[in-house]
Amino acid sequence: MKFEKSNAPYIRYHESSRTVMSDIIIALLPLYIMAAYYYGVRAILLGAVGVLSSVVFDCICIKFAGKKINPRDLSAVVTGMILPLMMPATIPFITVVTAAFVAIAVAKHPFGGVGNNLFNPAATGYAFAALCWTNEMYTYPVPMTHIGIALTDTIKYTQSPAYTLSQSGVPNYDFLDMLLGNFPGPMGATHILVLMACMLFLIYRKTINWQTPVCFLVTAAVLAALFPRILTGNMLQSVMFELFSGIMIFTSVFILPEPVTSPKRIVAKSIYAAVGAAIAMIYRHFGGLAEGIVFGVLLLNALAPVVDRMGEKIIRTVRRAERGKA
Amino acid sequence: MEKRKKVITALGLRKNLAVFNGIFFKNPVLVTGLVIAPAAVAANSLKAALALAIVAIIVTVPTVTIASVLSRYFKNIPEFLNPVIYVLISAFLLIPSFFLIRAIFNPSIINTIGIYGPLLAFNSMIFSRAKKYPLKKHPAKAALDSLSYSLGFGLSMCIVGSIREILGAGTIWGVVINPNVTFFGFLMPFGGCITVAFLAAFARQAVIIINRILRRVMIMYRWLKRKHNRKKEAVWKGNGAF
Repeated sequence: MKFEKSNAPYIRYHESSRTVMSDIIIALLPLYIMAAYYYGVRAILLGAVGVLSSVVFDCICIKFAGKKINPRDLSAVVTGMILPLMMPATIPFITVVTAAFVAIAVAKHPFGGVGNNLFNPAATGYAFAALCWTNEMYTYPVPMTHIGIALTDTIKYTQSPAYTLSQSGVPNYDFLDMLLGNFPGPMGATHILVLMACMLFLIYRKTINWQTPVCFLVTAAVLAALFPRILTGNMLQSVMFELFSGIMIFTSVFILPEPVTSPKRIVAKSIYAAVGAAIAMIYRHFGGLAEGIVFGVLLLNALAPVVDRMGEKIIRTVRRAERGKA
Repeated sequence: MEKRKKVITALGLRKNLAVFNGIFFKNPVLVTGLVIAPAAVAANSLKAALALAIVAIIVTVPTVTIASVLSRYFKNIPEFLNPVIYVLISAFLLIPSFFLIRAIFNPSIINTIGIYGPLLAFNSMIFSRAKKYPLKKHPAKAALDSLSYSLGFGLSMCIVGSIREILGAGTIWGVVINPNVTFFGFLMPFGGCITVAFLAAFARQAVIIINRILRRVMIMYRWLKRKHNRKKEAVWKGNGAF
């Protein structure tokens, strides 16, 4: 009989980094279709530029570090696909390329590459772009207008509902339009129904756990209901606009539950998501920019080990109490 | 670091060249990381960087020299008083340095560099130099040493400042170069941190590579010397035998 010598994991689960990443890519594709429907071909072109630049920067960084390029690694593709979806369709191409550069060469590879990054690459790239191109990032085109590839035509710009809320006004959009994404905003983050379907798909595939997005959205909804920013004080309206405007749901599905930067245990993940929502709402109330979720996520990424330890403590105390009863 | 020391000792250069270590091999910003805060925050243009460098030179060099003189000729001063004396001297020297940079640049440069100018009065460069070097060496050597350290600080500040100004504002020394593509984030502290981090990585890699080259040169030198000696010996022996 012939024995093969090999190291520990003898029974492998079929999930790997590649399946996780390909699931996320599948979930991101419908958002690109919706963006192309509302904003034209430029949306898909932006996505292509994002993917291409991030893959190229990834290869350069891996070569620079003296490692081998792994063609089965799709994480750079995911980063490149997420980045343009959080930006308006009229963003210059240089912004996407710079955001991809910051995401890959500043946030990911100096910390050790795939699986070792301290901060979420896509969130870092978005934060850098938001601070460098504030005007371009927060003025959005009206949906269903023709946007040329070179931006030579005159385009109707409007402010997003998030900005209207920050000026304590009431956005003038009805519920169905909000669900279908027919309101100005980032090109991939306004399609609420599609985003919800993506979330369900990812939860069904067990790529993300359901606790993170649910905790995030519930905390945000409760805070929006208790401290409404709109002057009429209508709680339901406040919750709807706060959750649907900006990149709130997009963040909760694609950025917050990222396996590398988030805590490991379920309890810790729930705490992490709830605190993230609280920071996001505080930033919306008092921050300078219209959208501050990403900064909250970055802050929490640095605190992820602390949150993990806290979750561990909670689990232990609960177990001790149970043992004491029995 | 160990290997580099050995090499320079072998070359017989260490005693003479260690004074100039501060310019590159132990650069206070990029290699040893002694004074990072002004580079990361305040040096967002070449002018501000140069102003800070001038302040650093004026403050650091006399302080370290006086520290050397004190430790050499006044041995009765208790040790716990030393930092107080250094800070008093350097804070006193800040006043003329600020008048100088106000005369060279606009008076508004004081607002541009903000709190990081006055903070240079007690930077860790002064303390590390004043504690390490001058206790044993001559005051002139201590002055040279601190001058090389502050020159290295100024050099790296100017590099960081010009990179940040070109990328952030598209200008250098106020002259417009490229107004089309600018990254505003580099004028902010987080951009400065990123710039300093990347430059520090490159500088440390450069130090490693230079050390490697020096080591190879040293091995070659030894080999040649040994060969030369053997030839001499052989000739001498041959002569004796004959």
